[in-house]
Amino acid sequence: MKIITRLKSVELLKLSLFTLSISTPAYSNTEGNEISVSPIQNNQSGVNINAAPQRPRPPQPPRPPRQPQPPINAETTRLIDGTVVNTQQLVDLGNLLYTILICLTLLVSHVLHAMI
Amino acid sequence: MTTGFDDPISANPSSIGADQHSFGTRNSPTASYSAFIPPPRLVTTQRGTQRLIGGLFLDGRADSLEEQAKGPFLNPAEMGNTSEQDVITKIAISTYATDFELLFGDDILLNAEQAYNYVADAIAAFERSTIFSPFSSKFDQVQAGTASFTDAQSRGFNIFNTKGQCQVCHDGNREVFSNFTYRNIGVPSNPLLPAFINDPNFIDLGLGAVSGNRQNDGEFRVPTLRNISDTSPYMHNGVFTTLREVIEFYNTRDTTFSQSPEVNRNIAQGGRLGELNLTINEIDDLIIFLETLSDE
Repeated sequence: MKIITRLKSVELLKLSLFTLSISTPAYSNTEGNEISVSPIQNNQSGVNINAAPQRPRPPQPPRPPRQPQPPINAETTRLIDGTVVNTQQLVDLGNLLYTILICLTLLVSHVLHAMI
Repeated sequence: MTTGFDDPISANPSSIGADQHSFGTRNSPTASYSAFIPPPRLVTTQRGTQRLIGGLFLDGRADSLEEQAKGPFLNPAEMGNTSEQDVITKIAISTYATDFELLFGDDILLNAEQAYNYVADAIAAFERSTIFSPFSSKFDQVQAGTASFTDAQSRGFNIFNTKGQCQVCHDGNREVFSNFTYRNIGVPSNPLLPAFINDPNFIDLGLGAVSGNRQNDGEFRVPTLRNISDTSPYMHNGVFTTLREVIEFYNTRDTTFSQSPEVNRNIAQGGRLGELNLTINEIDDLIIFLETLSDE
């Protein structure tokens, strides 16, 4: 199976797995062991967890309930914008993005780091 | 391959970024079985208060896998891309740009915003595949009748559901062993967390920082226990490195445990949480049971 074949790059996958499950503000160790903190807005929620909590906030309206999203098993998948695509091709592409793109980012980062 | 789908470098309480010197503020949760985390919704409890259930990230700030998947690419502490365009540019020069265009159209990579949404769609689809949720653990085999627990595993499962009171929060949804609620269980600060090293007054308010409601301060979503023995360290700040430490905390939090909570309010009570009176042998059995939740 195509997706399994690609997953044989286990080490590649291991290298990249961690990056998707976190998304937190930056703590940058720019000078050896000295760790400096910069309150960077979270790209996703706009929440700055480093900064002092901002209170009071206006009441948040209840978020509308949505159906749980179980693992996919249909032949086609309707995306959020309504586009319908082949599920297996979508999963295969997700696999590539999950692994290779992240590793590419790591590689570029390391090269740049070495050049500095 | 790793079954935990979390940071393979478990020595750090939080993950190091692509730049090799930035750290996140939290222990990265596993991505396995994340497809089963429901979208966030408010429910009214029997006491008339409203509580959040579901939502991605430990503080529930993302509504879906798609929204969650967009974050790490651009977060300076993670992959550190400067913009959506930066991400799409990297895809455009990759060997699989053609795959992307075949699926979404020839000109898709010229529209960074739309392409970035599709990146998130594809990753979310991958995370919903059975690779992330194989249900291949010893526990699943026992449930299917194709295997049997050892005596120690059976005793541990019994403790899980009775004296250990684990099922109160971790049995609302047997599929992933979480009821997806948010709790402040009084976890102490982690002195090894980079954020804490930088600022000893650092406090992670969790859901409280997202909702702005002080009653949510210190609350984090109850995590799955799937693959738990493979996903150390534990708790939102990685303060515990072994399952034994975790169980000892639940066992003695209100008796002999000596460390103060990171957020000393809204601390979950109920039952005998914090003074379970588990014996060493019972803790051993409970750990042995938890190890049966790892996928093979």
